[in-house]
Amino acid sequence: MARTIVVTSGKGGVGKTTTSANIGTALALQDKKVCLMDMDIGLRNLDVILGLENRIIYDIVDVAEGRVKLHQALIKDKRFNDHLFLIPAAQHADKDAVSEEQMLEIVKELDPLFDFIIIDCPAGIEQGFKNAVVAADEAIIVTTPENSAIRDADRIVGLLEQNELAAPQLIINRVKPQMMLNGDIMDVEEITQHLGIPLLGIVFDDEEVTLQSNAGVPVVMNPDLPSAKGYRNIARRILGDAVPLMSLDQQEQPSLWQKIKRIFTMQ
Amino acid sequence: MQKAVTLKGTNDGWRLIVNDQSSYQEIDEALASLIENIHEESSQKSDYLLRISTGNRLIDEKQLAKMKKTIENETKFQIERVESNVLPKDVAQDFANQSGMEFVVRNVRNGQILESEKDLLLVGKVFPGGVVRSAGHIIVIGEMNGTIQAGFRGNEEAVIINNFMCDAQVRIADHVEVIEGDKESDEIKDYGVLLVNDMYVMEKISPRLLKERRPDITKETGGLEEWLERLS
Repeated sequence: MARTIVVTSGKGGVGKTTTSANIGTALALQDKKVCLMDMDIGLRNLDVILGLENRIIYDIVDVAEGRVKLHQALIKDKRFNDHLFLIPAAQHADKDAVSEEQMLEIVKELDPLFDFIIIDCPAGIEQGFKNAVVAADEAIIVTTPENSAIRDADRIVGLLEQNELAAPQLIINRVKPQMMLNGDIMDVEEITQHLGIPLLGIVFDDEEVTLQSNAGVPVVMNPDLPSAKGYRNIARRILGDAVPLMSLDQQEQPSLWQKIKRIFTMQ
Repeated sequence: MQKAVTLKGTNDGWRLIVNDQSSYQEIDEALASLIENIHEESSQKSDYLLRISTGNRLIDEKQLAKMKKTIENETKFQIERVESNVLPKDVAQDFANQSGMEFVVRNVRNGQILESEKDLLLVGKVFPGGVVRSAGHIIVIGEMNGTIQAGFRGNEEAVIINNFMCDAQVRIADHVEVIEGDKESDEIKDYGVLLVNDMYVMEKISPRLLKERRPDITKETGGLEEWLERLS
């Protein structure tokens, strides 16, 4: 029996796909069997972040339309010992290519095989969103500390409340500690308060995330990075551990030292 | 006036010549009386092969099937083949679509599919997420990322030609391989030929060896007769 979690945000570009990839990877590193599902049909990315792009042969539309069996579309990530799998989205179709019934069918078939099914939702609130949400038991909402992203997150919380999902949990991504400490942008507590849903974790803004994603290696695989720590903490909280929240200034100090250390080590 | 059907013995066997000016009814009647004549003076003991020549007349498949059946049931002739000078337009169109080489100059971007029933020569770049698919061979002059699928209707003889400097997924018939190109090196590599070898494994060979490994590679592109034969 798997826990099916949809990762959604409403707004595009806040890090849904990166979050899906990293949470999935972190859970796989904790010896859980994880299936990542990319529902962003027509604009798929999850495969790129995981470095599995060229291994796609069949996709979710092939499965939905019955051209192939589900296991044929599952791509195994060889780095994780049979623990991480991906069902890629189709690239040559649009969001309507899969129906809510088909989605339920697919998730039902995956359910006994995995501990976690993580569904990467497309941006927007159209058919793609509906498909991604329909089969989920839980939802994670990703936002960044920007008003536009928070506004869209609020809209999504509202939409999710109409479905019979467990209360969605919040991840604040691209946290910029200095700006929050200076009071330039809403801080973690304000955002959580504003949205009125439990906070699952925060991830610091980190250029390494982009670099690692470009290399097809989720950042969480490199545990020294602060962003990786954020994702690992989130995964542990999903598994039920009580992990204290990373504090903003704690984060600031070592990063300053790291900078100085980097200068010395470079020479 | 010429008869609607004429049975003729030639050097290469028996030939039934259908007058292309006659109506179908005339042909039908003439055939019936011809068969009667054969019965009367029949000394036929064994099977003979028969070629039907229909000249410039188009006899549709139904009529032809009926004709064949009548002849094979009532005489000892076996139909060897049917020769005609003309083709229905749709068959000609299929021939044009499926033979020879398609020459395309464009880029194939993420989410786009370039598909061809012929051998395909693409000059342009295939981006990651783009798909190039052909029932025959594929030659890409340009960076080749994405998915390249030669012989996608099941032809294992198909080949892919490129310098294979980029990451790509290549498929020939049902065989799949992921190629990892050497992006670091600036040096331009020679073009190579990817094919499925006798061990059913994908192998990259030098273009020098192509003729040796695929002797028929240039024949496949032409020849209406061959194509029609393959069709039937």
